[in-house]
Amino acid sequence: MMLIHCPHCGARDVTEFTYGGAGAARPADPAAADDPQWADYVYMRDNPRGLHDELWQHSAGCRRWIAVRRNTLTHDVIATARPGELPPR
Amino acid sequence: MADATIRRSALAGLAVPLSAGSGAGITLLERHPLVMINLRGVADAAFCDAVRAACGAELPVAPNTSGTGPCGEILKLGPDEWLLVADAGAAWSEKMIIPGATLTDVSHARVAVRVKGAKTRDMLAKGCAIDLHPRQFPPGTCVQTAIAKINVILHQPQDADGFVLYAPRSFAGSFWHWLTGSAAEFGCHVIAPPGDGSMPRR
Ligand SMILES: [Zn+2]
Repeated sequence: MMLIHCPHCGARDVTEFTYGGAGAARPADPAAADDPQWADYVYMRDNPRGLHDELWQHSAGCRRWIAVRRNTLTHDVIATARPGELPPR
Repeated sequence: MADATIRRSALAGLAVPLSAGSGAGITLLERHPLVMINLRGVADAAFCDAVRAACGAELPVAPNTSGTGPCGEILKLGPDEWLLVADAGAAWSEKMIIPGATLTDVSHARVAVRVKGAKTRDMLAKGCAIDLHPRQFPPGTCVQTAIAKINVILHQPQDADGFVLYAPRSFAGSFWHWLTGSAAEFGCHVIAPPGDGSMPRR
């Protein structure tokens, strides 16, 4: 069973969490972004084999959204943090 | 604020007295009526001082902890969220002013059941993935988790007299059936709350 370390609650079973998809960065200047940039942000997702930065919600716990760096090949959780606070790779 | 005179528990008619003879490994006791207040705020020094002044209790700031004071208990739910719990009619339920806080009366949102007895940990472990060993879950620990897929607050009070489970009132029936079903193999004893859970208390 996969354990995810919630920054607020500690290590918890994956069944307490809801997957929220890739933690893609919003366009830096939303007002200036054109349609192709928004379409890219909203719809286009990489499907990496290996490290993947993503969002999860601790839905059965503190209900906060957290950032998770996970290896999609091994399911190892490399790091967790509050959203936007994962260390650089 | 919650009016104790019109409170009817969602467990009324379910949490009825049951004797397991001398072999009861589990005792269930509903806590009702309670006042429960959701507290939100940023836990800086001024906020902690304000909570201490209003509640006479230290604000728990470490993850998965709780505090207790003359008025009741403070359960930590998240980085900026707590639940104040007291028997209905407790002093702090009448007037509560905490500068910098958002207070919401959620007294009717949940049912609360105290589970105690020698087999309590074995019984809870059947439905929950939290490590309940006393080394990992000492008195005062409070977590939110899922038991039998129902979101619950699981609290071991400082007096260590078993655990108190808080479940959403709309799940009260299935939650109760899970409790009694899981406790059955150990011998399940049910103590009724004061009154029958539906009668006026004051
Ligand atoms: Zn959490």
